[in-house]
Amino acid sequence: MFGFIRPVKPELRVKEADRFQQVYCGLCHAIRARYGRFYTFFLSYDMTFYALVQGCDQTETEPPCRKRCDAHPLFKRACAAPDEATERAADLSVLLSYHKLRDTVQDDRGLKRLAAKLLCAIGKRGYQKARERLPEADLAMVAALDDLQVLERENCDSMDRAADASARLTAAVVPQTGDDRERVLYQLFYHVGRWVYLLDACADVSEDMADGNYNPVVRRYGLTTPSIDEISEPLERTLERSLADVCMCFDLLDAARDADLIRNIIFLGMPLVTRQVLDGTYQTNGGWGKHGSL
Amino acid sequence: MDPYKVLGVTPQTSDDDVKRAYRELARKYHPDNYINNPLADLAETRMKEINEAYDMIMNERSGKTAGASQQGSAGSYGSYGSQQGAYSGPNASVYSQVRQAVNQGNLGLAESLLQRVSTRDAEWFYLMGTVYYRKGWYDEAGRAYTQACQMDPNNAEYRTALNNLNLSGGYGGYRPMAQASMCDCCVQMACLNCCMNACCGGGC
Repeated sequence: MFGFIRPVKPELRVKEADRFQQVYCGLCHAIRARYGRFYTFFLSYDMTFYALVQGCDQTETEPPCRKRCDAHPLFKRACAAPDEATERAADLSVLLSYHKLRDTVQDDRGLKRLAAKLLCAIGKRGYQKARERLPEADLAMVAALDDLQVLERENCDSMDRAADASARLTAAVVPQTGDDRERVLYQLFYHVGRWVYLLDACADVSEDMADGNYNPVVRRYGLTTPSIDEISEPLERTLERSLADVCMCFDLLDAARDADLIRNIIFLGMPLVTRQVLDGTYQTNGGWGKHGSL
Repeated sequence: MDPYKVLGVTPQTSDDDVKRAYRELARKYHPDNYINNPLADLAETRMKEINEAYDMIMNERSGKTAGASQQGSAGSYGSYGSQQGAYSGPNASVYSQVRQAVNQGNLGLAESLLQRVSTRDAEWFYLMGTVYYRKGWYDEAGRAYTQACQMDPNNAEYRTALNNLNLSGGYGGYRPMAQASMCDCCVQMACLNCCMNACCGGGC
């Protein structure tokens, strides 16, 4: 995905910032243990968020273990102990990364397409393994992606319709348990997905217009110049609606573990990124530090 | 059920703080925030628990027997119902089926019923907007509600729906973005306060 989902570090307590880094590293190690090095390059904050939310019904936090990795070969780093939530997040992040690559192969041209094709070929085995582990999630993802590609091809002018396909793709991460928790999680990740898709479209307006690529925001408002200043108010309102739904779902979730950390991401991080993208001050990784160090 | 756990307080918490915790939770799970939300039933259950817990604690503390209802909490929340508009056009029977389908959460049925209607009047757009709203398609919902309001500017139900959408969750709902911009204001106030302290020499 796109890395929009992350905490606001100055507002975190030290133990929460540590915990975020530990889950991030724990997820990376889980991916490496299950699928090898290749898929760890696609690791994202978004999936860290998923691992936190998926595991928030646990009451105990296992003490972290210390591990060495490629990014930090000299000193061992604290990593969250592997649990069900991180392992599921690892499987899902393989599925999502692979589908993202496949999508690039479909949509892009030239060198980028070639590179994606190569990466797809390398990642195929890992993907097959992940698909065996989570067949129903993969089916839902494939169906949603197919819908999305059809909508993009027909140049759909309803941004909700396009966002719906993408949101269903994101919501496919939720385990099908058939209980109330599944309903809440589904709604939560549906709106996370809707928000990410629309915000990404807002961020890419000028790039997509230059390349002639499909962009739901451009189509919805019939933009002729690559500026979203005039429509930033209605965009903010519709994005905020999804964020409000995410907040309400989180309230219904009764998080027992990492509640303050997740709260920071949902109540502070996501609104902040929304504002930054809409007023054009957004920078990848927020301009802070480097990969994985928050 | 441990009423203290439900409200997130302890038996040692003062009455005022229990009341505050209760109000905070009631604001969060208030049915008004969940109008047309697919998770409204879960919020309602939660609201009931909170009301019961509050009543139990307050009854216990005032020495009343359990079950005696406390004024100002239970009972007042939970039922919001759907006020049916006074529509009496040619599509009245289809529209009442649509409303029923929406209330049962069967959005697919509601949508296909609406698609079959050929004359699209204000009520049609309003109902379509409601289906979109339930699905979380807020941009489409806004477009449909706006259309309904333009076609019938005097209808209070349409106007309320549009206002609710723009207010983000209606009364007591979250305004995540408002919080994000509020921070700046808080920082300014804090800075100002520091300056004042510096000038006036430890006033507070």
